[in-house]
Amino acid sequence: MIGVIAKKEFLCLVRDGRFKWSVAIMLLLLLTSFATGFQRYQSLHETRESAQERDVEQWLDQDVKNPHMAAHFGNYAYKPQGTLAFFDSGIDNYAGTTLWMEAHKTNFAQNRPAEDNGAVSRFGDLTPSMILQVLLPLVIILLGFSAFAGERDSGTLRQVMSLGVRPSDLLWGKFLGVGAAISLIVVPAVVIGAAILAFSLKSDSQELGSRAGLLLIAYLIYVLAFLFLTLGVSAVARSAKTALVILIGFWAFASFLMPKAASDISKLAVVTPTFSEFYKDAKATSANGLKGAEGRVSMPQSDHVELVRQELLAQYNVATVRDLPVYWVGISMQVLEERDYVIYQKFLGDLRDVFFSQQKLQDAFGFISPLLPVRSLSMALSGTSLIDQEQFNQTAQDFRIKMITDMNNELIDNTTMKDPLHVSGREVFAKVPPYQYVPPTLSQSMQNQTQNIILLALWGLLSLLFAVMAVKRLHV
Amino acid sequence: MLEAIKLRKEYGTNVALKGLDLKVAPGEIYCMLGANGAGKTTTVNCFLNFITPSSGEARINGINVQENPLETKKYIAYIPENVMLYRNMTGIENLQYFSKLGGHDYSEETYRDLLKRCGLQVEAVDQNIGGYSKGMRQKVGIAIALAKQAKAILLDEPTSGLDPKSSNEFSALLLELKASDVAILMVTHDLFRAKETGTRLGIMRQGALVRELTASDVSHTEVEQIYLEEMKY
Repeated sequence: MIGVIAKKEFLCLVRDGRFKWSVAIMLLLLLTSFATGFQRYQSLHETRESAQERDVEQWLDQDVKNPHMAAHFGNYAYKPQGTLAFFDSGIDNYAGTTLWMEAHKTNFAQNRPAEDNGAVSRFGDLTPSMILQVLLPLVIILLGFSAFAGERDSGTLRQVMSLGVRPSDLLWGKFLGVGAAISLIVVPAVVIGAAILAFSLKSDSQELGSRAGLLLIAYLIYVLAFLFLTLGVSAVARSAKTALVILIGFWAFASFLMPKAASDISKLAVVTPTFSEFYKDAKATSANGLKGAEGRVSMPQSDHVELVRQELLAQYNVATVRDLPVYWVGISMQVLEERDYVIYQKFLGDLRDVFFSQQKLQDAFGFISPLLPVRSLSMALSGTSLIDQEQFNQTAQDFRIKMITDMNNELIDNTTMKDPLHVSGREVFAKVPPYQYVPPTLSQSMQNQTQNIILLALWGLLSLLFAVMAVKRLHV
Repeated sequence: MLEAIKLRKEYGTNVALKGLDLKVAPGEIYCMLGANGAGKTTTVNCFLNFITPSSGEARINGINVQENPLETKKYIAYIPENVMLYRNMTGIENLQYFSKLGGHDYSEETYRDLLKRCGLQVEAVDQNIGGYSKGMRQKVGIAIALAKQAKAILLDEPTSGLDPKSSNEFSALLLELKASDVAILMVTHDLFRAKETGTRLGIMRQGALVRELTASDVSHTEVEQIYLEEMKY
């Protein structure tokens, strides 16, 4: 019985001219988004790889100089894109991709790809994820809104129900029929996506496969949630027109209004400090000490440096730094670097907490809109989420302190106060390994996603229950 | 086969059926007459379980419709005033679909024969329903009922809008079904057709069955006179 209904539903849909247009437009959009997404990924990937290689060469090829001055010359960290970024660019367009690592200064990542976009791109890139998250639900609604309500309007529902068809059979038949029609859009998307992944297989292919598989499951639940919602509303609505108005209203709310509102509410509830506030507070803390911290970092900077000076004078039993057998300038610079690293780690950590709190608050609105949990999961699995950006920022800051420490130690180890002149060349600079971004593992990417997984599963489950309950009370 | 026992349906203060008692036996065509709003379609809807009676029972083959809706629908077929079919499917595809939903599947040849038997032109069988007239859709509706091999058929003004020839062919089919011991309850405004095909005639007024006639005992003129007399109240 279910198979008979499914076959008829599919047949009626595919014979409808509107369906042919919908599939053609969706496939065209998907193909375009895959092509542009992959082209963008390849272009950015190659640009960043070559820039990173050039930067390493520049670091090694700099003139012989004082190693601390070499630390001032600095290095750039470029955030490489994960392979799945072609599918979902996530926050990549709006987050810095390049971080300059230099002595004394803790910088933020700069060069957001969105800055290069024109006014036309203000609504974001055309990515496969955007099409699946926003446009596919619209197609599901357009294909399914009349499943029950349209038959009620035309009178065929009376005819069908007079034959003793179980309402549940009708639901599952329609589900399979409309689902099969939708699969004409989704299956080519999955095949193209898999082909692109196969084309770009790398050493992380096993994890890539797991991520792609989980993406498929997440989007499948999302599509099923919209399909069951559509069928449920169609079953309870008085007419097909009413069903369409309700569903389009929900789609607009869930896809546009709610994500924007959630973002604005989260920014109001958890305020992000401005750049100037951040640096002003960090500099003041560096000067006055980090309250509540253990050790010398809690002291004012001058006291901290003075304490180290006194310790050195006592250690070498001399009266002034001029008489020290070690290079005090180098040591004091390293003390300040290590001190500022701790302080900036605290401030960057606080800022990270702000971003994660905002994200968590946004995700909490996922109980109103299924797009929010699937969007977060999609970004996390595609390696374009906040976690990936923070991993880049943190690894770059860790690289920076290591690079400066290596250079300062080179200076300290080879100079004294009486003989402070020391220059280094390529062989010393080569001790600093090139910056290598290690992306979060799958489990790290998913560590903040429990709530989103639960919410998406609930959307799938509750929409199924809603559809089942709706057809139980099916009126003709 | 079809039995209404003190069947009552209220919509707020409006009483659509006032304790209807009715029996339609196998091999009998019961024609239910009455003005609009008399309760005829409400009766059919109670047998189809499309509405729940406020009190009383509708029974098909001795089984309570409200208690066993799926079981009772095995025994009945339904032809509404406007048989609505799927516009993107052909006549034969519609018949195949509804027949399978009713639990019967036949060869393509049998489906074509059924449609032919119901008077559908051979060239229309493979055309989309979108191009069908009301009469052609009614014929497919009758074929659906025949394919179900139902023991009882509920008809709600089935000949409304049909041309005289089609109505006549339809009546002939009903008489064939009657001869096969099918119980038929037909709601109609067509007094002539009711007298021609009916075994018994029932006149409904304001939710109550006010008069019952045996078709063979009255002439066409008498049926009309009695009907108009009852409608005066």
